[in-house]
Amino acid sequence: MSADNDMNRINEPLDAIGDELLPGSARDLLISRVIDGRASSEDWDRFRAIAAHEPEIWTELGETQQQHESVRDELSAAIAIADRVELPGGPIDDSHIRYRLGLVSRWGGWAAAAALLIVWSLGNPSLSLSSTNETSTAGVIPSLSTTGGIGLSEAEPEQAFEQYMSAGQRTGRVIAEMPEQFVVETTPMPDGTIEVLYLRQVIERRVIDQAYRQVRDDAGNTIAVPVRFEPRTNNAY
Amino acid sequence: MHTRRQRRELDDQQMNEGVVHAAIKGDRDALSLLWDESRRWVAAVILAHKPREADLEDLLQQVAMQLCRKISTLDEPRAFRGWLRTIAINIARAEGRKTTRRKRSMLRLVGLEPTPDRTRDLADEVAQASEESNRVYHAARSLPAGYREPVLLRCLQSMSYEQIGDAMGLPVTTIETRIARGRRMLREILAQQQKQNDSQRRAALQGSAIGGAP
Repeated sequence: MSADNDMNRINEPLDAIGDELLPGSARDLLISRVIDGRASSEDWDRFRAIAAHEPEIWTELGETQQQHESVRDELSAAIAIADRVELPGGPIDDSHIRYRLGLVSRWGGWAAAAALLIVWSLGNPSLSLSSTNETSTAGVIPSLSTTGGIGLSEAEPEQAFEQYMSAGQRTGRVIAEMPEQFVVETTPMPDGTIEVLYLRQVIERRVIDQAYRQVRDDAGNTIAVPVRFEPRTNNAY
Repeated sequence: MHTRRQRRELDDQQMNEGVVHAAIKGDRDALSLLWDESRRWVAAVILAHKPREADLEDLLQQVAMQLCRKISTLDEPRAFRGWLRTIAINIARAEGRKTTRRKRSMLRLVGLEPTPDRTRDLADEVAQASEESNRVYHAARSLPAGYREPVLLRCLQSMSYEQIGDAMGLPVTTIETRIARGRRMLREILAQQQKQNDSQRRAALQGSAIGGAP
C-alpha cells in the first residue's frame, strides 16, 4: 500500500477509540513502515520526497527506531519469565516452580483456615466465641515485656515486633510472618523521600471450640453459620 | 496470486489451525505446542493490561490453567488467538479490580481514603526510571490501552501485523494506524518528559546560584 493510499484511508470509517488519520499520520505511517521493514519502494520515494523539504523526518525516524528498540529490549526481558510457565500437569522441572509448590503446601492450609476464622478474627460481636483456650487479647502476650532484654515501653517498633514474634513462636501462638508484603500506596514526599503504606501479615494460631462462616440469608442479612469439621486424629500443625 | 510472504503466512495459519483443532480434541502435545508459541505474546498482552503490582508469572499461570480447562469449549480454531487474548485480559483486569478493592480496604483500615493526588501514576514511574531504555519502556506502558497493546505486541519479533490484528479482532489497517500513532504518542510523551526534566534542572541550577551568592 502506498503513502497516497494511506492518505485515502482518511475516508475509512472510524472505530470506537478513534483511529482517524490526523494531520501528520501519513508521515507517522511511513516512519512506522520503515522501522518494521514494510516500506515499499513507493513508500521510500514518498519518504525521500518529504525529507527533501523537511530533513527533520530523519531525526524522527532515528528517535522512533531507537525507542522501538528500547521497548523491545525491555519487553523481552520482562516477558522472559513466560518461558518458565508451563501448562498445569506439563513438564515441571524448575526450581522456581518447586519453590512455589512449597509455598502452596506451606501456606495453603493456612489460607483456608483464615477464610473460615475471619468471622472470629474480626470480632463479630454477635458471636460468642469466648471459649478459646488461650487469651484473646490480640497482640499482647504476658511474657512479652520480659523478652529480649528491653522493656516494651522503651522498645523501638521493630524491636517490639521481634519480641512479639519470638514470644509468640515460643508459645505456639505465632507461626510466621508472610514472606511477601503488600504495598498499599506509595507517595512521593516534598523532601524527595517516598512514603510507603504496606500490609505486613503474620500467621497466628489459636485453638477454638467452634468456627463460623459468615453468609447472607435470603433477605440479605449477614448470619453466622457454624462450620462442621471431621475430627482429626493428629495435630494439624 | 499470493506473494511468498503471504503464502508462508497462509501455511503457518493452516498449520496453526490444525494444531488448535487437535488441542480442542484433547491432544495434550498440541496444547503444549500452542502454549509454547503463545505464552510470550500472552505475557505482553497481560503487561499491557495488568495492574502495576500484579505478578506476571502468577497471571500467566492462571491463563495456562484456563487454557487447559476451556480449550474444549472453543468452537472455531481460527478464533484461537482472540479467544486466548480475551482470557488473558479478563484475568489481568480481574486482578486490577482485586488490587483496587484491597487498596481501598487497606486505606480504610488505616483511616485514609484514596485521593487522586496520593495515587502515583505511571507518569511518576517514567520520571523516576533511571535508565533510558527503562524510561522509554515505562512511557510505552503509559500509552492509552488501545495503542499500548499493539505497540508492545509489535515489539515481539514473532508477531506480524496480521497476527496482532487476528488476536485483537481488528483489521490490519487499524493495527498499522494504531502502531504508527502509538509510536508518535511515545515520542511526544518522552519529549515532554525531557522538557520537564530540563526546566527542573535549570530551576535547580538557578536556585543554587542564588543560594550561593554572597
